[in-house]
Amino acid sequence: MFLQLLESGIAQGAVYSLVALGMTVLYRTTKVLNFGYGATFMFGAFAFYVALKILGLPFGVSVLAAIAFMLFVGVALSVVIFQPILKRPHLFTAMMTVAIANVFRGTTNFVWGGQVQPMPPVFKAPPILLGSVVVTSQTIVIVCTTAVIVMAFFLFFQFSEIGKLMQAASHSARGAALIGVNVPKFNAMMWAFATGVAAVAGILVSPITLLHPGMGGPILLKAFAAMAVGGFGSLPGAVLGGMILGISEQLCGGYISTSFMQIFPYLVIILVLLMRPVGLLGTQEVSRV
Amino acid sequence: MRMLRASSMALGAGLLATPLAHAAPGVSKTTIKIGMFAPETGSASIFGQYAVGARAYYKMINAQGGIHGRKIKVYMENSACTPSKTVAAVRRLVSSDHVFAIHGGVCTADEVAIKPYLARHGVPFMNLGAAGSQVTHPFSYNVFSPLPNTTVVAHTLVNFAMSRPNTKRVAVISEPDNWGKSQLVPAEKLLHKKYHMKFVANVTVEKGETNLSPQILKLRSAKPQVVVTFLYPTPTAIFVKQAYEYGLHSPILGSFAAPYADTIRRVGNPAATKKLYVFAALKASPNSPQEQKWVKMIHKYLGRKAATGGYSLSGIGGAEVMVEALRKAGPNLTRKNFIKALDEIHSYKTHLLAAPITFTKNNQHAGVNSGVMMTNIDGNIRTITAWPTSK
Repeated sequence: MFLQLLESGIAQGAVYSLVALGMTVLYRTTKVLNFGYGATFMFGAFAFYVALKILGLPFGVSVLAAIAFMLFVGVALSVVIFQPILKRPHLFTAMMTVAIANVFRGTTNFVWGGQVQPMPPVFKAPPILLGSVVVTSQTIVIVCTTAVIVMAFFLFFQFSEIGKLMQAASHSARGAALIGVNVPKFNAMMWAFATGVAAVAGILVSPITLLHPGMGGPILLKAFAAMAVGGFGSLPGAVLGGMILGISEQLCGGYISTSFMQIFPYLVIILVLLMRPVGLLGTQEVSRV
Repeated sequence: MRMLRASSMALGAGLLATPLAHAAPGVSKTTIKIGMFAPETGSASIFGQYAVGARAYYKMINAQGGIHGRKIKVYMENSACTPSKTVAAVRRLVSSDHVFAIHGGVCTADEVAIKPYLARHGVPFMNLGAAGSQVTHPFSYNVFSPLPNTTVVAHTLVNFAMSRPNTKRVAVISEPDNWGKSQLVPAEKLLHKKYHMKFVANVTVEKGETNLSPQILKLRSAKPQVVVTFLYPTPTAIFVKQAYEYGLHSPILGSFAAPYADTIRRVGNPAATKKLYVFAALKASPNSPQEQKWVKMIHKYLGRKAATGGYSLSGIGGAEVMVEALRKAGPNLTRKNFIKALDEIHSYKTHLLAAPITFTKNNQHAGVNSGVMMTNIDGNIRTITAWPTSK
């Protein structure tokens, strides 16, 4: 039972990590805490659904089309909505993300109502049996995709010039602009990255949660929790936080009580934040004045 | 002068006669106003589809000439499955729109919240789709329900599980909220009292959970012969799908909240739904030939995009009862004689609902006391009352 719970905990943790990752990328580079990210990945999943089921495109083409569409949505959000309000207080931008989430939810609700749509898995392979442990193909796909995305972002931010410039621009937009960095362009690119990851998360998660306008809400809360545990702004922290949450939740359900599953991760958060307020891998920001 | 007096007398007689002829609020010579409320937004908006079938049915009745020359005019409000919004919406329907009766509600808490107000104002209230037994218990003279309540559903599922030969081990998975408990508690009581048994495993699904492997592993380790579920539509589909993946191959009995055809479609894996049985309020699947007439009716009156699933078709049952009672109440329609007509509905067979409806004055306004299970037998979706000998 332990190994099976561990497997499902890793699968669930990978989902939380993936969503937390998209939010962390945006937060790290633009300082926008996107409360609408749950609705964004839901919107990405619906974009995939439209391409696959309504336009009848092949699976792979539908995945690319959904990601491309969400990249465009990200750029549009950045240019049309968030650039003009960038200098407003954080609360203002946060409320704007909530408003956009409602627009996404409202749009899908208007078109499809509250109907729950089935979504095809990425691979239709039967589950693999490792002794008594069942590993589903969707779990493998989610874990591998999360690992690839984490690695790609890590390499991008640590080793590429653009990645380093983006981080510098997030610390001091004015300073970056003074040395010739096109900050709005970088911000638009980060919004596109974040919404692109949202599309991937939506495509991977919707075969499990099924597709409906409310699918993003519960996972968003856990992704926030993952960010808090791992440390806001830390990419490896988002992944670690997501994994801790996913595994602790499943073990709690298996060994303590299924009624306790929702509460347990938050107890973990309280414990972590009391002991280490910046999160497990977060760092205290020091400004030289 | 004589002419003026005659005119005054006629006017006076007219003024006196008008309130007598049209005493009931919401009733005119040409219309009967019916107030309807259901969630059109929010997480429970899928249940708002109950209103679709009912509205289409009223439109069909109007197209056929109405009832005693009057057309039904529906006033729709979005209750969002929130008691505070429901109270505001229903007050608006009664005091501003002056509706004759209410045919609405799919969330039990909403209906419990609005019951005292409607009773005080003497407004007849037909439940649209809520299943909690609290809708009709405690009894209220003006509240009627044409659908099986949660106790009926729970008893039907337990009796059906026990109709499987040599069943000794039954497990349950349920929602932890009032709705889930309103089925779990009567199911536990019946299992204990009638069959001298307890559930071999009892687990819950918290709101928003998408990975149910802890629940499935616990159920699997209890080796149940049948698993009873009291879950909402999305968790039902997730559970059925993941139970199959994680090797829980016992037959699964679904509650009425997750209609059979919808669940099959959502799971999207025929192997996972092979041993699925779901409580049904309807006689037949929405996809079956006998229900196509009603699907077409909905499309005709509300357009091709209108929902035609299990909820939508189930909503027609209550509308049929409403129309039947409006006819029986006669041309001099008042709220009093309408309630009397509803109280006289006995063993009324609707076109779509599986069980007949009976209301009796003073003690019985929960109209349905039995149910059926829907499943796939030899490639055909059928309703059954006992465990099939072959499947």
